[in-house]
Amino acid sequence: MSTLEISGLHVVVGSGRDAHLAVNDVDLTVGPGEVVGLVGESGSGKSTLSRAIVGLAPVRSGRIVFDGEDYAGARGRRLRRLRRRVQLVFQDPRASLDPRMTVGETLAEAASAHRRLDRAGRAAEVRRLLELVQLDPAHAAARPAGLSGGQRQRVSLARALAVEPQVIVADEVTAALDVSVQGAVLNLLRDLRAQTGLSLLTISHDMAIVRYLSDRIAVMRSGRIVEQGDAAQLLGAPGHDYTRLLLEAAAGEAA
Amino acid sequence: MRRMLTPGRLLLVAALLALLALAAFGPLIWDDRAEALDTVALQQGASWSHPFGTDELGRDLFARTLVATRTSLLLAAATAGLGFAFGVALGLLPLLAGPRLRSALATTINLLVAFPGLLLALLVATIVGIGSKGAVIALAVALAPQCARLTQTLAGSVGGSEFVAASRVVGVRWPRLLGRHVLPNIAPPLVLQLAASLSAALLALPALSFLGLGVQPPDYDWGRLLGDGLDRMYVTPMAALGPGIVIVLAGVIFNATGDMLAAALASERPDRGRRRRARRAAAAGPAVATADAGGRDEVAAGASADGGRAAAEPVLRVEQLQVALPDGDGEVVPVRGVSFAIAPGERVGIVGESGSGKSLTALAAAELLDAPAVVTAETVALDGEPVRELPRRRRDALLGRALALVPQDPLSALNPALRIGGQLTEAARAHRGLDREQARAVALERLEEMRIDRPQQRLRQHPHELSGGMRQRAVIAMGMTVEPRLLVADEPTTALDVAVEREVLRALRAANERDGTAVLLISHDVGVVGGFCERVLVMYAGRIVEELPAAEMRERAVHPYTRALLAAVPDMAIDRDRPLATIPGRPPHPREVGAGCAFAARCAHASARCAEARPPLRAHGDPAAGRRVACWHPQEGVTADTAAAPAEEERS
Amino acid sequence: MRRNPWIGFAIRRTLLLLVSLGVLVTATFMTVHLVPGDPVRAALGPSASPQLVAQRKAALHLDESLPAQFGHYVSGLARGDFGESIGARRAVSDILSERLPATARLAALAFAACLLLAVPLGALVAIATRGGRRRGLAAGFSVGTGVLISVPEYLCAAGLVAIFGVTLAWLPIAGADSASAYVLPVAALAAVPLATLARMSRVETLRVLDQEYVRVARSKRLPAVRLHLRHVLPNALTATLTIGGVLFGAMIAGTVIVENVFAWPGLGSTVVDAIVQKDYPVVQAIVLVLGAITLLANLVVDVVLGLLDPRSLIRES
Repeated sequence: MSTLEISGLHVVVGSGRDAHLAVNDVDLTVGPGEVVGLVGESGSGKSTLSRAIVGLAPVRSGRIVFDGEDYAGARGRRLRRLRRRVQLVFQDPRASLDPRMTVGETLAEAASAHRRLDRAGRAAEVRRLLELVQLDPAHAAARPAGLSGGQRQRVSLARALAVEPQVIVADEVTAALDVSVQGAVLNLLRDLRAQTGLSLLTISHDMAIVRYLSDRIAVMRSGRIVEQGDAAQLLGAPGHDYTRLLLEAAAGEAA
Repeated sequence: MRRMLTPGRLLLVAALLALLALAAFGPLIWDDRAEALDTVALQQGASWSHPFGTDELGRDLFARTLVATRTSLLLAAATAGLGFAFGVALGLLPLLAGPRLRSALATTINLLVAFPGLLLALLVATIVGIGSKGAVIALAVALAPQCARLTQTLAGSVGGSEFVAASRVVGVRWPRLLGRHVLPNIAPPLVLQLAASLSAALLALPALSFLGLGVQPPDYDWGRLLGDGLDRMYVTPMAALGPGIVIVLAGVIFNATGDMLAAALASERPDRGRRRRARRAAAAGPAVATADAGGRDEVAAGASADGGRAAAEPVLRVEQLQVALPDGDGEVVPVRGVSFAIAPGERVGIVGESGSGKSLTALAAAELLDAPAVVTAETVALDGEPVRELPRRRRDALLGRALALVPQDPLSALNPALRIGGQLTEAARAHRGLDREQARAVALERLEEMRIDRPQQRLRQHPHELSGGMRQRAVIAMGMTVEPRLLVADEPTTALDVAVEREVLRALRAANERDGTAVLLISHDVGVVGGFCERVLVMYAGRIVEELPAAEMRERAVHPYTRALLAAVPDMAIDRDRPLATIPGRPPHPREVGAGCAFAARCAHASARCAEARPPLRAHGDPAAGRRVACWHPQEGVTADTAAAPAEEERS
Repeated sequence: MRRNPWIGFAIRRTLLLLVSLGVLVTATFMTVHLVPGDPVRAALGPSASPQLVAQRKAALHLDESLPAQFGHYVSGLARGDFGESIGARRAVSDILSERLPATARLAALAFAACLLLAVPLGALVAIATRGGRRRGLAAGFSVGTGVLISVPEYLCAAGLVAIFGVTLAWLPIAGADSASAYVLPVAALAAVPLATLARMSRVETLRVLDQEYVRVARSKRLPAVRLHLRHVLPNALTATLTIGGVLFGAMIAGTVIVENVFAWPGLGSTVVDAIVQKDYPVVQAIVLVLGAITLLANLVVDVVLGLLDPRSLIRES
């Protein structure tokens, strides 16, 4: 198990006149088996950061080091190597699954992406993955439209797990789910981490969720990390005004 | 499948087959007649032996029209195929090119689409020469830009979609991505475009022939026949009209076939299985709210802890509100008999998850839902007046003055094309009889109350020039200009950041306290509702399941759903070592709601009675406390820890 | 940082116009040179004497290098000299100035009629049939416009000639002599774009009617007229006009056909004759002029859209 270390990352989005620095000089570390919570509001750049980590957004400068190798700006085989180790689960459960493929097909495709599997092997993998995310294996025949939001999100998670990554970046994975259902997905993340020793970078605007899951917390605003550190310490004694603001707002909402 | 073959469609398919048969066999059957010269009957008009008349060599034009089918269709197919191929190739270029070249290519394609196709065709025809070959190539070039633009848009949107990105991240390689993800998703619209190109080619080729630039004699197609006939239009109209009608018919057949293909592909959506299941569930029990064995719901007379308020006429009183929406197969009823009241100056919240019907309830109560939604209610009284029974003018005057709406998305609440000033003054001018200056003064005052800086400047600005939070506060200010009795805020802070949310809620609170305007706040966020409102209505599957003072919500909710919902919301104090509380299953879709309590399937305390009979909303405990609950087994006792996941509880 | 969005827009748009004009000029220039064989010989026919052919070639600079010829072409354009017609031995610019006005009048009238009739019609139908009301009207509108867009211009023109010109003999069908002579050609030219625009207008108006701001405006219980005129129409108009440019292009193309059917003394009828006679300079010039008009019209539409909807200025073109 290795550490994911991001240093001095700059990511520019948009082109021409709209171009702006969405991620501005970000340093972030996710140690082996650790859960790091990244909290920030919309426009803070957290989604761009998550995409840049897996090579979906072009890096202007900086390093993304995993297991001793720098993957910033990686392409081709190097990028595939990174994506074998670090995976991303998207926010919108509806958009991140191909509507025309069944759950089984989506998972089989992911399982075969880096390994050579025969038919039986693929079927077995699909079963294993569905069980891992606590879904009835019968769902393999269903299409995304026939599943609930929570179930779809579990399928997304299963897909990410198919390549057997060491780090999972979970980008607002419960934001689109009803409150009564989101707990299940979050519990699942905790269980997986306990079972497999996975590292987790969990991104959310919800301070309470971040507090619940994380060992360490990083606060992001306008492309920068304004504060970062051990969860208990940060929550008990926030150093930055913005952190304080977020904590107040979160506390104030408890009825 | 059976539904697909309507008589209209069968007719269409028959016509299409007839056309194709004509193309295949026409020349074999009628060629002789088409070439037979009849020097006696030159240039004759329509007659029984020559329905379309004859041409200058005495040949029967009707036969020639039939024979020309093959040429016309073949040329059309060649043109469409070629144009489609050009277009798709051109449209895929931006995807494969680098980002800088991409926008240049996109602009080029857009320009080509705007350029007159016929001119393009003429240019090409000039180069390639006139005749069938020239016409086909020329028109193919003219048709290509449209296909290119569609391909480019589709490839862009699918190529940039989340599931393609997700597949890339998982490690799927490009060839498989294209074949398995991109192509199947862009194929249906492209097939439609091919069909459309076919009819376009069919209709455009004759244009060139008609101008003399297409098929040259002795070959002939419909266009040439039409062109020749047009010269003799005055003498023998059928010579032109005949081929003309045939062209139109063929065009209509191909267009209609394309439309039918479109409908077929669109209905091939993968959620058909779910609809079937839903239909079966709905058939099992009535979804419509009726007075059942459990009895009627009671309306609390806007009662709250403050007895004084209860005596006054409620600002809004709703009884047995129901909203029905037509659904492909019949009807869905997302709001099933809701009754509540709001006292003057009170802050009431409706909280619920997706499918609870909370937004529809508020909109229906405010008389803002129209066809095709069907709203029924025993009473909807605004300030004591029965809104639904008033004549239109009085109703508009009442609603315009007494009610204001603050919707969810701040950008779309204000008309983006108009300046803010006009939008902020029009309601006051319409309902308070103010003139322009007075209305403007009111608007400025309200903007200042909402702590919006430089209000005079803001009035002249457009909505997109303001930030989200400021826009929302401007919308609240806009609502307050008529001095309403009730503000209905539908998820007003959902799209906003936490810090901005506080500002907006503070602004709403100010409006409530300063002017005594009642507020009906709708949200899925229990924390927001609990913090802002005095009284909370909890909705589930189209009905109110509990009503209680906000202050008591945390500790003394009694409905299992409310308790479970509160337990499931993580706050800053929950125990990190225990799993989060959840509610198994998911909220039911309006189609799936059966006879009994809608929550029974997910409830830890459900009994047989719950599945059969729907519990009515009844007062709970001391009537003056203003609490109601719709449950056969309300749960007393402190909330937070007891309402954990059912696995840890006994079924009672 | 409050830069006036108009300046950026003006610069971008003008640049676009210049580039597209450049491409158009080059394309029309290349036409002659892509023709296989000898263009002069093809135009003059096999019986023309070699001296005549050589003379015309020299006059057209066809014996010089390609870039040199392009130079002649462009400098000629700048002077307003479009060359000389191979067959007619007249300056093409004369032909243009003679025939352009008729085409311009026809196209302008048809476009105006189209806009003034189609947009309100579509909007009104949308407002009246919203939410499934008045299904008959909705169906009638769909079918009516559907039929019209299935019928291509030449058929429309031919049909109009047959019905109104020949059978009923109400209106003249050839030439541009009297005011009544304008009726049928304008109708033939405008019919299909009108149906397309009306359908688009209806679809866009329906979409606008579903927007949140219309619901909010309705919640203010404003008088219906004010509601629709102020809140619905501008937004629907903007969305509908986005196809204005394309529509104008289609209309210019339509003039070629309509002029041929009605013997209208404009560029459309000239260009077809020129193609048949292989009179390339004339074809070049006419396509160039008509194309330029279309590009200019697109610019005007973009400017109008910018005036109506300031947000579109900020968007990248």
